[in-house]
Amino acid sequence: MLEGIITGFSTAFTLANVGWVLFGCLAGTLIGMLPGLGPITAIALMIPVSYSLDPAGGLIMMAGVYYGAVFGGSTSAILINAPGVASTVATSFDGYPMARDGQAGRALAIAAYASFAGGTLGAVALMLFAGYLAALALAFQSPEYTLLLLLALSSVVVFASSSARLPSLVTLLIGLMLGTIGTDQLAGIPRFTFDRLDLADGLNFVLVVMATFALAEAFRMVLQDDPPVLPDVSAKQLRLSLNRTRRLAPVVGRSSAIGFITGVLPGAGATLASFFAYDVEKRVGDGSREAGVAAPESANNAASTGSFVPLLTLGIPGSGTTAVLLGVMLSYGLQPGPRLLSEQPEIFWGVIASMYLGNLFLLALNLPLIPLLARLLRIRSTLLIPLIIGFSLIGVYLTTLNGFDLYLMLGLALLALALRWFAFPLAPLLLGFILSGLLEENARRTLFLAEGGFEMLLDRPAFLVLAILLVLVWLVPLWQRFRARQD
Amino acid sequence: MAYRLLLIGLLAVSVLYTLTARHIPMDAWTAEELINAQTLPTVYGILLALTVLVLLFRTSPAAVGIAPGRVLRLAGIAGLVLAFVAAISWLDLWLGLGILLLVTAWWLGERRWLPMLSLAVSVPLIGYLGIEVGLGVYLPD
Repeated sequence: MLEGIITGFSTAFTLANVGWVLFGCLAGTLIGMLPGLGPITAIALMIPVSYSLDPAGGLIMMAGVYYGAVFGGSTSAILINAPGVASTVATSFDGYPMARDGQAGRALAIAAYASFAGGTLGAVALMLFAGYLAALALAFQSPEYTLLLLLALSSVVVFASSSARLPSLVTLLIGLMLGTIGTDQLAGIPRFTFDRLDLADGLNFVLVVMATFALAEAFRMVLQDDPPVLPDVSAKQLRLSLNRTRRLAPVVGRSSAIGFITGVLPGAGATLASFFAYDVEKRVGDGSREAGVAAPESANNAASTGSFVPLLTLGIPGSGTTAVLLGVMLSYGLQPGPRLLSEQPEIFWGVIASMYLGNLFLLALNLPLIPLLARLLRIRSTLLIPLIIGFSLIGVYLTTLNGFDLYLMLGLALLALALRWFAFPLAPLLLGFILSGLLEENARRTLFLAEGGFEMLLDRPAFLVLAILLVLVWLVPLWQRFRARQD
Repeated sequence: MAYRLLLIGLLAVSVLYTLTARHIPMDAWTAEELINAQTLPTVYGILLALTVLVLLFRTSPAAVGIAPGRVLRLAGIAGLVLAFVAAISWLDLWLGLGILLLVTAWWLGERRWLPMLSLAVSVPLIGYLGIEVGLGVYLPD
């Protein structure tokens, strides 16, 4: 392995490849900041550029584009509550309120540092455990995924405050219901489409996220009094004190571990990782907003790195983004999988080694940009509201190129505004929408695998562990009620 | 009152959704599956109806009051968005965006023409140059 690591570093640290990492990170960050353009779009847009490079250089650049785009998405999530990609939704929960309270610089700086730490820790873990984790990923199949998804959905309701549990359940169910619109993936049956072709593919993620977060936020600003003008971001906000670093270090460590492991599991990815990490931090951490930004940011970057494990070692793309990357590898004539490690170690280890460099570049590129980006919040609401409205409408239109989707978006934004006005949390809605299709697909596949008898599930240790965890999570409200009565 | 109206609306949606779910057409093979195309939507619909019913019998949360003028402003903006969507099929997307930005800012009470025009010109121009020219994204007419 040591020989491979040395080969990887010597491949990644050539002048040309260092340049391509830098280019990839910059392009990824800029594209990721644009509404509706996430890592998949960023990588897809860079495919023509990659064809002019050798395989190692092309893949190194693409990896830079990937984690650059993941990081770029967090900027719009923090500044205007418009997470362009699902994996930065959890960042907006605490990042946006921090920005509204005049701490945009601090939130962005924490996001930058946490992303750097998460990505770097992920790269170390990838280097050390790639082989072992590939075996673990293989053990997770539909039955385990079904329980993992139920665990994620249950946690968002169970761990809400007792007064917010039922409202969380309402929005979660609305999200799950929105996710059922479109053609049923397994049977090919149209559901809730009302014979409209526009609905056959279901609701677009960017549409739902822009409607419930960005457009609804702009509408809320219209209904409320003008907020006070925020102060400029000082260089002081970008520095993390020793105390703060000490407080956030365990958060980043925990979240990076959660992120990396979740990222390794095919299908789970950075979105689930960021929600999980955020949720865990709210329960076991100090509950501060700073931890609420650091946790999802380190988790989604570590997960992006982790998602390379099944891609490079098994040739299985764990997410849409790595599926596009698989296509790029195949177009180079590379066959990812165990043979890649033995036959072309310079590519396998070169991509992994470039991640250290990429994370360093991301930090160096983004920190100086933060004061400039945070100035966006000093714009008067009479100009900021039209900007957010225009930003979200264009983001959705560029993704779907369908005017009908904009009507849907307006309706959904008004519903989200009404729900938010009466303190219904919107994060469960988004989580439900994202996981709805995955849950149904895996639940139905589990039944196919079980073939009518559930005995086979009892022979799966990972399934049993998750089942016990799920039951324990469901018992939490009863336990809390019992404790409250005793007190 | 508005809170109860919202819950009643959600209850109506959940009932309609459940009824529609029960009428999803399925072939004989799919219908026999334990979890078929109707199962989870039906579960979601029933669960939502039950949860909303529980909330209806609880005390309403204290809502923040809204000045009537603000509601009119919001209605105006919703109307502008509708007009923008209707217009982009025959008006250029970026031109439509510029007009939307300008009129929305004016409707919200902005009267400084320089910032308004800067916003209405620069955002569509950056969008056009960055997305259509720079990234080469093709937008249909």
